[in-house]
Amino acid sequence: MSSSVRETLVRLVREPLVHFVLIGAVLFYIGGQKAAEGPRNEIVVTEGDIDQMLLSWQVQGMPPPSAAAIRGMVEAKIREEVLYREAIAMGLDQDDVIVKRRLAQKMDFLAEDLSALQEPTAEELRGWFESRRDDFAQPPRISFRHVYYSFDTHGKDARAAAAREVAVAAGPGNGDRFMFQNAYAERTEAELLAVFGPAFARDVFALQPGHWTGPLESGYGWHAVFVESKTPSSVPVFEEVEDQVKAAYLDARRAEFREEAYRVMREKYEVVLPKFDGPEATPSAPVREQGGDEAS
Amino acid sequence: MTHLRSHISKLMVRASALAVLSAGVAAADPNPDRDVFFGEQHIHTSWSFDAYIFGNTKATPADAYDYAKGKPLKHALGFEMQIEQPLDWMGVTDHSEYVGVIQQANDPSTELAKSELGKELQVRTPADIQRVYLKLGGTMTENKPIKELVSPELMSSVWKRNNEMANAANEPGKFTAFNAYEWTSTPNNRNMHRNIYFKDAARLPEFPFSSFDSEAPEDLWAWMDKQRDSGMELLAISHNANLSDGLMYPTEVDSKGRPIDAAWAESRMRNEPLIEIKQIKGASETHPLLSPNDEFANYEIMSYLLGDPSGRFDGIRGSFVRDALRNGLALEDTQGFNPYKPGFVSGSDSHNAAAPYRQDNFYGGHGAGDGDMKGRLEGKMFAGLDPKYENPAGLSALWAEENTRESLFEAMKRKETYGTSGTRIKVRFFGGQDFTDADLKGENWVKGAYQKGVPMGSDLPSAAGDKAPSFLVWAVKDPTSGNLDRVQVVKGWSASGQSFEKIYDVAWSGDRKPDPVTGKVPAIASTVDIENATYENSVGSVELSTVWTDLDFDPSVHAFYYARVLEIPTPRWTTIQAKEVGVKVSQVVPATVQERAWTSPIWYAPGEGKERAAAGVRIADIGSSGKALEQQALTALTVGKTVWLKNLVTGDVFRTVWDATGQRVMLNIDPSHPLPQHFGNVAQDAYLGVPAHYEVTGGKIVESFGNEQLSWSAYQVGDRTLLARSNEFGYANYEVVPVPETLLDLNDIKR
Repeated sequence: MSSSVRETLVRLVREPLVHFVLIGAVLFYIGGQKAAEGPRNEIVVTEGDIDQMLLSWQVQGMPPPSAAAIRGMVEAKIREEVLYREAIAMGLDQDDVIVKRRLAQKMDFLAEDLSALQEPTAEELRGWFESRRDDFAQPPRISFRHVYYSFDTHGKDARAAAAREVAVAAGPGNGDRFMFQNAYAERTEAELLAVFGPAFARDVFALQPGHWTGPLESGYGWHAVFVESKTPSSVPVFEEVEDQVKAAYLDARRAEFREEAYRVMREKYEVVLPKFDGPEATPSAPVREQGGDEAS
Repeated sequence: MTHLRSHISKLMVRASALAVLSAGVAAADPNPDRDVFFGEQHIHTSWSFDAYIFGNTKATPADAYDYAKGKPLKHALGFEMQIEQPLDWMGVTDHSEYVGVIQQANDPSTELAKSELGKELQVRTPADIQRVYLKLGGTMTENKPIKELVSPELMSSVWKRNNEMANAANEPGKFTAFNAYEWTSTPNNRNMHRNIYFKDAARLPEFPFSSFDSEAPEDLWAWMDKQRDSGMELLAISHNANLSDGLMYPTEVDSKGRPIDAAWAESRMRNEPLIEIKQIKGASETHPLLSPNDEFANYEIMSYLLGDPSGRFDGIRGSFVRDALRNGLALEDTQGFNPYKPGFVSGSDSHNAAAPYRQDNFYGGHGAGDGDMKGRLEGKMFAGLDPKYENPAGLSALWAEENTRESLFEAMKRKETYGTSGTRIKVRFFGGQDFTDADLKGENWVKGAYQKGVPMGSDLPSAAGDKAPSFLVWAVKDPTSGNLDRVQVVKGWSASGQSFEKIYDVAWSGDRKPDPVTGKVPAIASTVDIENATYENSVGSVELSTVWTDLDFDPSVHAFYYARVLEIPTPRWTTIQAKEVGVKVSQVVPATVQERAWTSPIWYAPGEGKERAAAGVRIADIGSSGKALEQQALTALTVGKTVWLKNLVTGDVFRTVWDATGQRVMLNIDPSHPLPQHFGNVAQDAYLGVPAHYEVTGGKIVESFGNEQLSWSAYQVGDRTLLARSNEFGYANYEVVPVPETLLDLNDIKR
């Protein structure tokens, strides 16, 4: 929706604008008398500004603008600036939750912009990786064959049929045609989940290799399973995952910096809160809380 | 602080480790028979301005990709969101609004870097970072923004960063993260939004074309054409036609008021091959008023306009894709071009950087706006919307050789896609001339199907002779969801400016027999225990497949076919959460739902020389051989009169009563006969005697369909009196006839 709220906003902004025009007309009349005495507000549009407008026009793949179009762009810019300054002068930005959040969001972006400027060295990355190698471990994998007894053809008897299959240690050729594959090689739990559902994907790893076993239930029926082999979890060497390590490192740096920057700013403020113990408590005397990032 | 830092690092490492988890082993070889890849086509993060307002202030595109890969993410209200089964791909579709000042200031080649201000913003040490941040921050909190820094001329850093995050999350063979954004045009509260997808991270625009540049889709397409000319590959996916108030699929004039023509149709189809058929804010397939014979049409209908404008409600005609597919055929047939040949995908449009795809984990899509369970059940109005009408996100399924940007993008481009309501139904759909039951057997049936026919999203090859096309459809349930109830083929066709639809049940579970009167397979038994919000898979099928031949095929008319797969009834999220909260189940929305999948259509066009002469009379051809009835003559013909009309296209004869008080009713409508577009449920209305309002004005009989007006005009041609409806593309298809002796010939309905 991108836009239900955006549309609401537009509507909300429009309403103050209506007020603005009315109030502004009054203020303009009053202010007009005074303006003659003081220095006038200046809006300077430089050649550079116009070049930039043209550039942005071109970048959008538009044909070169006509002189009238350029005048229109300049006029629009001036208009925007005038309305913006007047709105600020009238304090329309105060206590506007949208303006507040937008500015707060910009601060977060700035923090991230800044933190991204520092490239980690290979040594830093390697050291960081070594201290948390387990986090980069590869999941275990399994290879197996199976014979399928579908609910569609066997209904409630599917389990018993699959169990008989296990008992006689049969191979493919019996059972129902499975709509995907009869054998899977080197699969992770996540990959098997997408095919069989979560219970089967989890339980198949507990089966012993080398003989027909089960049966296991999937979302489709029951399966006799022959596990060929299992590959345990392994930890890669740095070179194999260097790119991922770097991405994780930068993510961590970014979040860290954002919090650190917030902490520094937070320290400048004294926060006054009502006292409350829980949802049932009624606010009583306010409590004061000095800066610091771990208020909770 | 140390504590906090280590905590954060740990979190981030876990996130990245997850990415590695799935990246480890080399990708599988491309599968020429194609696999299905389920993904999220439409999601917002805190970088979308409105998401931020909803309280999602933290989640980034990187977080959204991590969520897609299985990592938990915090909702704005503090609870944890986690997907049960990771996705294969995702495109974060945020808006680009932020200006990347710092990068500019630190790039010596930029103008900004040379300025005094730029020098102040340059960063060499960690201390600089803090200083610059606080300096800029100060100017912001004091409401004295530095003008140069908010100018749009500077490159959008959000767009760039979004792409960086997509590139970082992209793991060819394992997980695809697309470079994408949303173009958010909403003229007059009418949703015209499109998501823009790019194929190649190496070829991206400087910044996206936004709705600030233009709200007209024609301008978006022109921009896209231009990008394509420069070697870029991109495509658009429109969404929420259901909220467009009829603006998504116009048939007469474009958004600039120019008549729709072949160039417009080509431009549209060149640029937007896909539409999103359902998402959190409702389905856009069809509407009960458009498809009165479709008992499954009343599915997640949302009547809402963005911004909730006072005194208006959403239109129906032009707001649903099946209607558009039908109109597209009619345009093709009558004017030689078809702007409406889209394939289907689904999406979430969640603003939480995470989306719920299932009824049992629905947490809304708009941060704090609809994130609270009690709030949802008590109808806490969210931007004018009762959240009960929302529903879980849909998933987009792409048939592709491998999970890479290139392969998935090509799948979207050729429309070999389908949308689901959120579960992972697997469905294949092929059309051809000579499929038989044998083609579904054997290990290699898929290979054979590709060789003998065309997959979903394609055109049928030109028919040999008049042979009816056959369709091969195969569907398997989601192993974690309800069994399958049935597979249907939805057919649309057009002749003489009229379009029709018919729904065929082609495969179904159990031993149900089609109803001897309607031919429809009866509803499946519901196993839902509404009070306990449970169901059982004791009915329905794991797998359904068949070869279906269109026995009603007419080689002279344009047609489309798409498959719809339905699961058995399961509890809707409102039922599940009513139990959790301990309140009664709402009657505002259905207590159960049938999850479903919609495949992209397959189209048929008559070959050269196969097209038959139109049954109706083209108004333009009447010329001097006849004349339009003026107000007075039209009034005399209709007001206070009962007139028998013959539909020249279908041969049906029916009565129209225009009474003297401005009410009209149509009688003797046979509900078993296909009905032209936009009559609504006229058979039932006739039976119940429910009238519609009409007015004779300006030489036309004006009536309404939804909130829109349609009109009839009349022509005297020799001794024939012909009537034309304004939505039948320039044809006068109804002739005034004498009272018939009988309504039908028993030979036609012989058993």
